Amino acid sequence: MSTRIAAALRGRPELIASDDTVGRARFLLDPNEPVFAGHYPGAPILPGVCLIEAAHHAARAMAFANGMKVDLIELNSARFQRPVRPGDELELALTGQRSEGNWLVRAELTVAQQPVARIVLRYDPSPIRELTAR
Amino acid sequence: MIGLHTIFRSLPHRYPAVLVDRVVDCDSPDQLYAIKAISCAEPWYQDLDQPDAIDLEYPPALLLESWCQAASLLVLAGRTIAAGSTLLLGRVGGIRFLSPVIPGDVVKHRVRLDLDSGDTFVFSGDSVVAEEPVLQVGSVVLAIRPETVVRSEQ
Repeated sequence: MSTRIAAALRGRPELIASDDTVGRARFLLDPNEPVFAGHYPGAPILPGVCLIEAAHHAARAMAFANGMKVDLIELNSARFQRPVRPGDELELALTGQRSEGNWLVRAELTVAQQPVARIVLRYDPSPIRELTAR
Repeated sequence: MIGLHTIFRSLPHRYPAVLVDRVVDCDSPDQLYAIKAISCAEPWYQDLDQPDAIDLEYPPALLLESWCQAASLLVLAGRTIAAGSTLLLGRVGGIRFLSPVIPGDVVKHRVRLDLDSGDTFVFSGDSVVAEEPVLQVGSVVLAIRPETVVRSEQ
C-alpha cells in the first residue's frame, strides 16, 4: 500500500493475522484524532462512518497481505450498535469470501468484547502484478 | 437557501465534522438538496504532502457522512428534538460509490424521506457532481434516541 490516501482517521487498523478468508485487526483510537473536536464538542464519540472506514482499511490490508488489490464497490450494510469513544481499542474480525467475481467482506467490530458495529463491504478484486510477475 | 448559520443551529457537529455547506432546496417536507464543496484544506488531506504519491479521493466514509448530515437537516427542518434526546445514525444499506470525488468538486446531495414513524426516519437518494452520479444511497436510517445512549458510559 504505497499510495497514501485521504482518510477520516489519521490512524489505521493494524492487521494482526489473516489468510484469504479470515482476518483480525486491532485499532486503538487516538483521542487526538481531528474528527473528535467537532463530533461533538465536549462529548466526543466516533462518527459511525469512521467504523465503516476502519473496516474498509482492515479489509484492504487483509487483501494486500494475500496478494490482492481491491476497489470498493458497495457498502452492502452497516449497523451501529454502541458508541465508540476516544481511547477505545477496536477489535475487527473479518471474513472474506468470493462471490460472483466480487470479494465480500463481513466485519464484526467490538470494544471490550461488546459489539459496536456489523459491516458488510463488497469489492472488485485484482491480483497485485508485482507479486504475480515473479 | 439555508446557509451555515442555520446549519450550525440545527446540527451539533462543529469543525472539522460539519460536512454540509448549504441547503439549496427544502421546500418539500420529504425532500432536500444540499451542497458540500470538497476542499484540500480539510484535515483529511493534511498528511498528503508528496505530490507523486497522493490519491486525492475524498474519503468515501465522509462522503456518506455528509449525505447523512443532509438527511438530518431534513428531519430537523420540520421538528424540534426534545431536550435529552438526539438524532443517531442507526444503519445504512445499499451504498454504492460510483465515482471518486476530489478537491474542487461541488457535491449535491439529493435526499428523499421514504418513511417517518415519528422517531425513526428512513431515507434514500444519491449525490451528483456536475450532474454525474458519485454516490447511490439505498437506505439510511436515523433514529431519535435518549442522549444517555451516547453519554451513559462516560
